[in-house]
Amino acid sequence: MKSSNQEHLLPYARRDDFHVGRATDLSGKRRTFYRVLEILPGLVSWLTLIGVVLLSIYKPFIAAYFIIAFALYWVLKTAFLSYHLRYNWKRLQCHMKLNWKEFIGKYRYGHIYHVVVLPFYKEPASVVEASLESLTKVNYDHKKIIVLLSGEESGGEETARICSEMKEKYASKFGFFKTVIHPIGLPGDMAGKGSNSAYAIEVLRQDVLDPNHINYTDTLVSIFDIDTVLYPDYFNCLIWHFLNAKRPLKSSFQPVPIFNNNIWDAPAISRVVAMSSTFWEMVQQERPERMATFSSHSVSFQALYEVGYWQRNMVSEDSRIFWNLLMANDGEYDVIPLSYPVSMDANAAPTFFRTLVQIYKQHRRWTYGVENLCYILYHFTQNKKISLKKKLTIAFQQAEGYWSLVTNPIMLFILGWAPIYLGGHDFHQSVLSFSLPIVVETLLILAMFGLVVSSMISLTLIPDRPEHRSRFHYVVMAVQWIMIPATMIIFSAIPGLDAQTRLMFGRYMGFWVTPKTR
Amino acid sequence: MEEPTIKPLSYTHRNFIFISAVVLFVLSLPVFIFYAIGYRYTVVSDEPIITATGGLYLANEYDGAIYIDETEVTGKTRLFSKSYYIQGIEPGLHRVHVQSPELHTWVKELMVISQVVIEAEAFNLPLTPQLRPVTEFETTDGEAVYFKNKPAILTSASSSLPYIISTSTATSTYEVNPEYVLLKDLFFEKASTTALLNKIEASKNQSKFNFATDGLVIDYSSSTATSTIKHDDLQLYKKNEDVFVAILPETKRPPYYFCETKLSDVAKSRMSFIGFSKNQEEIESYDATNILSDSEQERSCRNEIMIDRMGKRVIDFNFLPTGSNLVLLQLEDGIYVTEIDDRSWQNSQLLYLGTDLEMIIYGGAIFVNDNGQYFEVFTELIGG
Repeated sequence: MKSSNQEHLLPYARRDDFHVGRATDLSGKRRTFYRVLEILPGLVSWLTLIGVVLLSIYKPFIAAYFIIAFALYWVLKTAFLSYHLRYNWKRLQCHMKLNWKEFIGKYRYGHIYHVVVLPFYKEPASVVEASLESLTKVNYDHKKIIVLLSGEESGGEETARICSEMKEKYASKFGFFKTVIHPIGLPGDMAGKGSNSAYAIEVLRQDVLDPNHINYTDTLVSIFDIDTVLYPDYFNCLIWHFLNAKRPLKSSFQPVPIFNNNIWDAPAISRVVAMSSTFWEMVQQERPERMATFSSHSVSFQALYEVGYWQRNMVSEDSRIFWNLLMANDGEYDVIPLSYPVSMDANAAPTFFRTLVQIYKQHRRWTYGVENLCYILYHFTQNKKISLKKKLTIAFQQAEGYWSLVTNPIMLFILGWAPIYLGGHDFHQSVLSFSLPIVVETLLILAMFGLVVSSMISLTLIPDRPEHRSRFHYVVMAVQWIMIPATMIIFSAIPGLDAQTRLMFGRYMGFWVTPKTR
Repeated sequence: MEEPTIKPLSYTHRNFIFISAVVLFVLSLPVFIFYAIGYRYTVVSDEPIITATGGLYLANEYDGAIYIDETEVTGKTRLFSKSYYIQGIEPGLHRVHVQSPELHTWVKELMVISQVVIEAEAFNLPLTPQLRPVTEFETTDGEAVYFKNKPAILTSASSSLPYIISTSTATSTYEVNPEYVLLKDLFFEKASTTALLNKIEASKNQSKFNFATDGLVIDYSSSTATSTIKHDDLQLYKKNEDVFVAILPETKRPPYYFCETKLSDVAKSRMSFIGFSKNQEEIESYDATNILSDSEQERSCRNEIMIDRMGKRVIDFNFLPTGSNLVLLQLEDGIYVTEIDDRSWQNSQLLYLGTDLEMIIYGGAIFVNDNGQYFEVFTELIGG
């Protein structure tokens, strides 16, 4: 459903290429340029990895110096990020203990509505119900909460049944409860969370907001994955930050996703990967200028309306909406970290192997967010109102992020040893050849102290131990972090390289829904 | 309470940490790199100096103590390797000992060059020969049986297997040992072949007439060379009274002990030009890899190394099955294991003492015929 009236859109958002999802959406020179941008990330990553191998063969001494420098950089980066992590953990712990209701008491906020968007596909009713149940327990006026439960038509009758069952059970507990079924095959739609949510919220605008004269500027939209379980003070915390923001209507609000709904039942490798994602988000919370929205987040309806909601033709719509907003607002848009958690599911399939496959696919989808880099670079060349400094800073930060995600773990844990094996006899005879693994190993051990920090913090974030789990599991949860080097390669670098390579060759990915089982 | 007490990290704070990390990186990177290429900070005569050191990569079968110039050192093993890397050795000539209880001591003088790792392969045979008797008869439980009327056995050796000494000469209660039968055939075959070779050599010397011989690799390239034994990239042969190891012609990269890393004349002159003494020792102890390209470090390699036979007559020779750096020499007073590596002296260690012996290698094992008694001889401590 696309509104033909574009007057509500910001000027830049009215461009025909504003919601470009891939090069094939464009034509002529713009298409060629966008295609080059799609090739660039994968090409640079591959050239880096191949370059290290070639350097190891032809200039092993230089390769060895580079690897030592890189390992040292890694140690310092780990320390730097650990410092941010530890600080944010303190802030998160503090925020979870604060009485937010008391804080917001001095403000007038009764006129503000919270729209909670819960898109789902084939997740079981129990998962949907758990999220709605957590919503009923939030420490906030439920009459100011509008629930938007949006299923997919492709989910079949079961989706419709879940929608009506949930409506029957929960409609009376909230101000409004709207269920929507997103039809199959709407023009310009890629099946996924973005198209579902964009369709549903327009229906909500027409059926709920407008008829009830609810101001768009007084409406905060929180879009959650269907497995999201809220902590009681989420909306109080959100309101406080909204009311204290410099430009609330030009800001998105990012909680910390903690994947611990099923943490006691998920395999160790899944816990490590999930907690690593949480930690990365916690680090980002302390450097908001580098943030984009990720997974569950909140934003004013007005801001969404001004850009035509989430993009419906791409995979990583959760981050793309931030870039849409940044471009449409000519660079004047922020992400405000809430440092307050929302709880989600860690990957857990019925079998261990399927869990591994699920983790891999989920991370490939997340790292396919590199498509946003093409979008950013493309629109930076188009939008002349954004300052050059801001463009360069963001472009560098994002490009470095996607490059390091893919190349750094492989370079450090695999290619770091390449000169020893590929360097030839002259190098092999040198002290440098023998010292290289010793120095790199020592530096990596130093970097491992970052894992100790991670291990300790992770133990404080997990929910209470269920009865069917022994105390020994605490030990496992502390020790599981030694898997980090392997998980960084298998579930971060390789899926990232996979995603970048697909984009490079124009084999565009579709939206893959992580199955939720409990 | 009006607002949350913990503020986000300020930009100034984060910037300070970032700049501190950058400064730390810039300051510590040279330290790590200089350490990695061999520089060490040492105090000599109360005078702290920075020296460019070299390394030693020592293959060592046993976890024996390693001494360099009478100072015990510890090495670091590489992954899946029994070799030790000993770093921080000052350039110059060093005497290396590898010793372990109940084993021969391996000693070698090695020239260490700064920023270069020299390789060596230590070996330590048991002081007491380690044997497994192979008798003609054995019990139904597989125990070797000796008859008391035969010469005494294992007077100065250890057996890895239990054996019994029978007071009777009756054999009906025992079983024939098939391994003994096999060895008997092998020793007989070897005796025949040796006799044939001797005959060929004698004929050759008399008439210079060559026979074609099947089953053996005969090298006639040298007028006085006898049968050649090949192992990996090496060949072992006897020329006149001496035994030699040579690199096969097609070998691209000879083993390290055939070569010596030297500085090329161009490199030496370049170092001299930039202010270094022309004194050979000083040049060789200088940092070779820092200012010189790979091509400037010359590897001077030979094709052939003569094995030290300690002035004794060589009866038989072969490669040690478990190591290509080691050869078995059957001399007039026993069987020795000698290393090929002839940087300084070649270490020789006694494997089996005796005269009138025969030796064969079969299935990777060494067997000795000592006056009709057969033994498998081990190069390592049994159970060690």
